[in-house]
Amino acid sequence: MSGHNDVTSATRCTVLAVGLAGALLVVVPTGPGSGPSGPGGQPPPSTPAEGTSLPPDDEPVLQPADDSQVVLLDEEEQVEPTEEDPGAVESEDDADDGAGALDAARLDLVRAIGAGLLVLISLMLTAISTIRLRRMLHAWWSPASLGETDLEHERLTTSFSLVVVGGRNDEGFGRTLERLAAFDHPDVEILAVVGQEELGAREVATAAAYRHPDRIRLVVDRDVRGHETRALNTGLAACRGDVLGVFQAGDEVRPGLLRHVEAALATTGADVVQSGVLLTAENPSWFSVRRMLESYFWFRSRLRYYAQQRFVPLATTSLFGRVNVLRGADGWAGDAVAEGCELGVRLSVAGVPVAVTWDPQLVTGTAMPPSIRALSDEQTRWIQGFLQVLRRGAWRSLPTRRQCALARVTLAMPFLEAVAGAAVPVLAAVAVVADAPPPIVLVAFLPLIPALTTLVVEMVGLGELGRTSGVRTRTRDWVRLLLGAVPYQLLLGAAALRALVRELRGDRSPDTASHMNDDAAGTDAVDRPRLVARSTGRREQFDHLVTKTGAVDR
Amino acid sequence: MTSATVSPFPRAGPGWRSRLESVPLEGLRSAVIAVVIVCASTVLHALNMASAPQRLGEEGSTVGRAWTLEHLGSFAPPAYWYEHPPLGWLQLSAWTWATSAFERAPSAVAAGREAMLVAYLISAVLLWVLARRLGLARWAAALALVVFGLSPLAVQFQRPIFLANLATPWILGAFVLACSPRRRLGGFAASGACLGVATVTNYAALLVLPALALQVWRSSHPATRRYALAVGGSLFTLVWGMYILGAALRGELLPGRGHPSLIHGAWFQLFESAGSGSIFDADSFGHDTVSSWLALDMVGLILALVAASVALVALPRLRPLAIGFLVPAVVAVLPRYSTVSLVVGLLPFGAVLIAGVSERVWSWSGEVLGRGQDRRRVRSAAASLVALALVIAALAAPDWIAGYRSLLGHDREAALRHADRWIVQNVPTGRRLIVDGAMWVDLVEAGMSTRRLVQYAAFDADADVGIQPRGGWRDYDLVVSIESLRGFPDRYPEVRAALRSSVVLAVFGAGDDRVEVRKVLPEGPDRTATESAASGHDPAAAARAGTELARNASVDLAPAARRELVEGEVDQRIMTTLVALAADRPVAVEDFAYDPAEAGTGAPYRAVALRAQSPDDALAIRRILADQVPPHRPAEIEVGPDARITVTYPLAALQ
Repeated sequence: MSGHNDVTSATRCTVLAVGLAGALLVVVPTGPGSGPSGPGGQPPPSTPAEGTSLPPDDEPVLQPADDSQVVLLDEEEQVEPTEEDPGAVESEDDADDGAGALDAARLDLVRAIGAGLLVLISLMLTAISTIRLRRMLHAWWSPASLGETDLEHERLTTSFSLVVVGGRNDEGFGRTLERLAAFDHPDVEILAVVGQEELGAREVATAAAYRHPDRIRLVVDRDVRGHETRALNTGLAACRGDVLGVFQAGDEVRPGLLRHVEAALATTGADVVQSGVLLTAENPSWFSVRRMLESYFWFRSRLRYYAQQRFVPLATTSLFGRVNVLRGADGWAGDAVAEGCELGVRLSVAGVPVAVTWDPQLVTGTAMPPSIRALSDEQTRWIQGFLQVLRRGAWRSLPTRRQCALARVTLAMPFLEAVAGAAVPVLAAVAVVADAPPPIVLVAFLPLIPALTTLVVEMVGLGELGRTSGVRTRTRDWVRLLLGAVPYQLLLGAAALRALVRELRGDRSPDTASHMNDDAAGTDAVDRPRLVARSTGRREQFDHLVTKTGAVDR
Repeated sequence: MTSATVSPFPRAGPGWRSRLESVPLEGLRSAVIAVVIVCASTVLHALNMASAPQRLGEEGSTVGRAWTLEHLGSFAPPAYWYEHPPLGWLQLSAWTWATSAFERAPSAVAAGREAMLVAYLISAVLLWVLARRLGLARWAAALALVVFGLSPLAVQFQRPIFLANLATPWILGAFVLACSPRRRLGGFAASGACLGVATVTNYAALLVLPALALQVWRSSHPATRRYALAVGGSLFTLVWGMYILGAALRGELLPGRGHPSLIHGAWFQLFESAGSGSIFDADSFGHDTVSSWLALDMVGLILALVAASVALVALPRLRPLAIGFLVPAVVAVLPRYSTVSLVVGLLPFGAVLIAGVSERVWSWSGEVLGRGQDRRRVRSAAASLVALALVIAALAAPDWIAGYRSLLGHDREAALRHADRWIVQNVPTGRRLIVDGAMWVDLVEAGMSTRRLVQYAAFDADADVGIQPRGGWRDYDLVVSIESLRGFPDRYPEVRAALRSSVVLAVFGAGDDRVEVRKVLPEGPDRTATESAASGHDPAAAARAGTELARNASVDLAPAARRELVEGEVDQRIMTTLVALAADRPVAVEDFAYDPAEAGTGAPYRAVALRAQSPDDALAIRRILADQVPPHRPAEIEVGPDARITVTYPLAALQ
């Protein structure tokens, strides 16, 4: 029941937050130098720790004559000079009187709890970071998982319907349509889906359809809001081919992709193919390199891991699926925040075979969020989408318990990773500032081991990306990669908390601010023919023509 | 280069039951051979392990630190100045804590060597796995195990409590993981981490780093190579990072006045410590070290060198191991950094290289001659190879047999045990001793206060880093000298100065591995100081007094006792007591005695065996003696059956 899920997830998150806050509140005020000295404690230099005298031996020890005392010879006492015990001195300072002793005991208890919490959180963070690293490296984990297959397939018999959703980036919309139209596949139709109110997109689509009448069709979505999921479903309903392909406006699609997808469908027997996607930016910001690498590792490696586990969260670009299968699954869910993930989970539960492919020469380039705000919104949506699917519980219908457990972890991972990534440097800083005993601080630094290894792996990945996919990497990209690590993680952490709050409040509205794309300001006069003037004037007539004949009235 | 993964993926292989059933007999045969050889060599290592060889150089300080960590919670005393990384002592201390080794074992050295036996066992198993993973045949892997476990050089240097012995299992583990047939990134990551732990156990393990890097490079798939090196290197570096972080948290990372620092310690070890001297200089420490290795197993070492050179040039599969052998070997012959325990790092690689090259030679000769189709030639070539092997074995046999006789037969620690007992019995409270680290542990376990004892290594203290030196050797009364201290005198210059200005009080054992307890003369070595001056015994006066006593009618002396009296070998206190006792009753003296360790040091007899007239008289005598005040108060009075009394006086030199 979703209500039950609400309560349990809210409780879990509250407990987690309280634990974190408790750790911080308890550990921080202990102040400098007040932690109990652990086994590695440095004795004060002036009195090297000598230890205490040891209990006497059981065996009779000849007692040599001692000048100071008369001792009967057959007793075995050891007479040692009294020694100062450095530990005793310390504790005496702490407890002057009875009340002081009680305070000291309470303080010790509080410190112990704080230390225990720190250790627990540190171990959790280490586990999360290690899982993330392992999944990131899945594609290269062993020679077997390199999974290089020959996807040669000569006959091009599948008919493709490619859906491109407009409304965000008009210029990119036009570019994408042109590229898709340039495919040399014999049987391709391209559906340009625009909202009724999105006039710029309509103009561009109409122009493109005018230029390629045999390939491009304009499909208008009557819903006022022009929501992306509705657009996709509209495209799914209107398409006529065997295989549906989905792209975003602004995607750079490489020629040869359809051939590759068809080969994949034929060779692997899958019904759905998720081809590789890479986020690219024309004017990279400081976070662009990191975001691009994140998408590289996601599509190149992590999705492959999920494909092996038969639980694939899909993307909404460069996705291909058999139309009958998609229609049978009722397309994309209208209220899903991360619609691709949601569809992927449903398909996985239904046992639909999904193939994940990556060819460095055929990677689809999709738009990078242009600003920090846009990035934050994108991440918030992504994490919220996963959390929503987690709460919905469709994954509970998976056949085995192991798969259910894996699904739960997979869906929670974006949130956990984002929070963990932000918490790791914070925890280390807190442990140092709070002057905890050295073993506790060492444990607090333990999550840095997988975190720093991840950083090194990202650098290797950037190099590999530059070599195989032709992405230009300059020195400043390396610098941004290194220096941007902590700010990026903090950004993700904030986005994760925002996503959690939104999901708990049930706020699923798309953040329209993020849909406004600064790059869409460009007005390319070439793409705006005289038809524009006509279409704004006679909308109903125009619509009717499009949906009926699939061609633009000239 | 397209890659695709399809879901649903076929199930990842057969279940565990069918996998168990499909274990081939080959695997079992391998396991049996390995188990037999490992057990045999472990038994060989264990026999007499606490007694031979006598404790070498660093053993005392290593086991001392492990003891102080377990019982006192820190590495001090003596103060830790990062001369070695701490993880080796931590592991040793964890073992001794878990098995209560210090309480169980007869001495500290025995406790520590138990841990070394366990480390050897693990290393032997890993060596077998490594040899098999490198593609060696079963007989070759067995040969490697034999050389690694049974060579006297190996036994001699794998028994002692060296940090290098604790690092060897980690190094071998790193190589085993790097050679894994599945070539998974997780294996390479673990390999890097294992080498990291090995280097934080013993700095010398860093010499293996190039070899392991090459091994990872060779073992990994070309497409995953960069990632393999990245994760392996990251984990290696991050293990070091934790060590450095630990030091930084204690404020001991950067050099500064008043505190030890990791950087200072490492710098000192690398650049400022006294070099070992050229191995060709007969007086140098380096020469002694290398010649001691060659004396134990010259054939083995030379074979290993030859095999490493051949493998470096001609056998790509074994090239990483060849580098792992040659880098420490080169460092060992450098005039700067040679240490005794470097040979420990050479042993596993040398063993596998000998076996690998032998196998290659055998199969190569088979190929070359097999082509010729001449059965007689093949047979004669095989025969000559076998003959060559037998010759090598015959050359090595005398060294090996002599080595075994020394390692298995002799009890070289007996002298130290006696010395411990003597010190506990005879050194009065308040006297301070300079001892080796293991003896420090034994004496503390026997009940001595740590304030009275100091280890040789404590004199390495440096006031610049805030470690208070212990006042110099002049503040101490006794120094115990063992074989390894005399053998490498420049190691502890302060202790050497103390030795030079001291006289012997007691000697245990004989020859090179004797143990001497010496009294320190703070005013410096006095040319005219005789041995008897140390004990304060004047033979001439004693002879006079003894002759007087011999004429005393009330004292009935056995002939040997009479002679000893007259020659002035009896302690003055005994004679005074006898005179006093004889005034009231007839006294029969059977024998004078002293601890045999004091023979030859100029010390007088300080124990006397009397026979009283009746048991009551014996008790009366005992009461009289017990009521005496020092210096005439005996240390021990033992009343035996039929009125026999043994009276022992404390050592005069320490009164």
